[in-house]
Amino acid sequence: MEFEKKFIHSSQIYVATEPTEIHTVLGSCVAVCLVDQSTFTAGMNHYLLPLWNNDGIPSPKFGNISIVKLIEAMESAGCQRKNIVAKVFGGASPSGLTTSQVGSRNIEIAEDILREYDIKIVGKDLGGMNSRKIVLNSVSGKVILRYPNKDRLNNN
Amino acid sequence: MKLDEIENSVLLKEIERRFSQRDNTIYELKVVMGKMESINKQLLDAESNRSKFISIIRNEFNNPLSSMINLSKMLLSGKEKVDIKLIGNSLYQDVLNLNFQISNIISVAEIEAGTLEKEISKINFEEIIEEIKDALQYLIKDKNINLNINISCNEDPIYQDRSKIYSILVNLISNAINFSPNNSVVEIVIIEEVDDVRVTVKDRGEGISTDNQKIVFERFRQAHSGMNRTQMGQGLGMGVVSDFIEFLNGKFKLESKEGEFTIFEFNLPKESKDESMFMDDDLLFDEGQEF
Repeated sequence: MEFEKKFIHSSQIYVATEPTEIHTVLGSCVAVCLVDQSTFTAGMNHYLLPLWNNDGIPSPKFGNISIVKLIEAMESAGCQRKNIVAKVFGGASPSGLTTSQVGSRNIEIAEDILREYDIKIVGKDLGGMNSRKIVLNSVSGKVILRYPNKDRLNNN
Repeated sequence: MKLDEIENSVLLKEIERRFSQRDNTIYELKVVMGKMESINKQLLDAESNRSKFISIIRNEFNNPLSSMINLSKMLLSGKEKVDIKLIGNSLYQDVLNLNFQISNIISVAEIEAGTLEKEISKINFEEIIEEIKDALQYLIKDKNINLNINISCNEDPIYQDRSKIYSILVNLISNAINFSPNNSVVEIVIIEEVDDVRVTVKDRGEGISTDNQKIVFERFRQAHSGMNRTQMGQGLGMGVVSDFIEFLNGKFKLESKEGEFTIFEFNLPKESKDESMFMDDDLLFDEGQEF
């Protein structure tokens, strides 16, 4: 099957109705992947900060805006809420940045909002100190997660 | 156990416990009330932003639209001998103005909807500046502004998102011109550095006080707002500028001295030709785990 490749950056939301591999790279950001296997639709977001504090534009840079928009986008693509499951990744706290809790707060908001919308989290890999690269396959609904290999990185 | 069998001290303790429970409940209610008040205030703010937006749109779209309607009627009537060139000029000016405003509104809508996409292509700054000069020609002519442009880029092509850079620059430059006195100079410097491109826009206008430097990036705000604001626009421009720069992983800063000058400077990283780099670096990663 031919897969389109789509790379999303922070503050972006993407819902694939055609066979697509959605890629992203995460640090303290969190990506929520929503999968509906009954329609082979999958969507991913990538947000930087947990909460929009009513200051400036309510952009999907913020988890509480981005996740809700992603759910809405899945539903307008023809998915039913009861068929959607979630996989959540990211929210690392890179070493040396222990004071900032952005990562863990990003995780919390994802769990809160998904619970509120009654969407079950069926897979996750959260927190820790390392960045992640994830690829969501919109047909199988599977996510491949890779951690950077320190040895190979340092040799380059 | 009968009531009269209970010792007084036990009763007193129970009463005390209930009193403290009541105090706790009152305290919690107060906290909840406070939260509700602040949410109410946010709602009111949102509502006032909405009505502000509608009234701004009404003011700023009605004038050019009605002038366009009248001008095109004049062209159609064909009765009197009309100066086609003059009418064409006015029409063009109105259309350019509307186009500028609408593209900002669309940008804000896209930012809010999360549908922004990075479209990386080759960037030619000379070309972009020429396009901007064309779009702002009437503003430049009106105020007799001298645009002092200095572009120093290497021969290798630069890759970035062209349409967003255009939006950033056209907003910055039109702002700089709008807040400049007549017959003054607006300086635009574009320098290519190792990993990024640095752009500076400087005007010799009225400047922005330190207090106001924060609010210029808010929507519907102009540092010189109120009844006597002299500038047009919905106050969306700077919000678009800051959001686009952030979206392109750039940095910006504002430096200003009241009554003397305003300098807006931003850096944008140079992007690679396409995103295949991101895709094919699996070698640098461990074996994948499946979820």
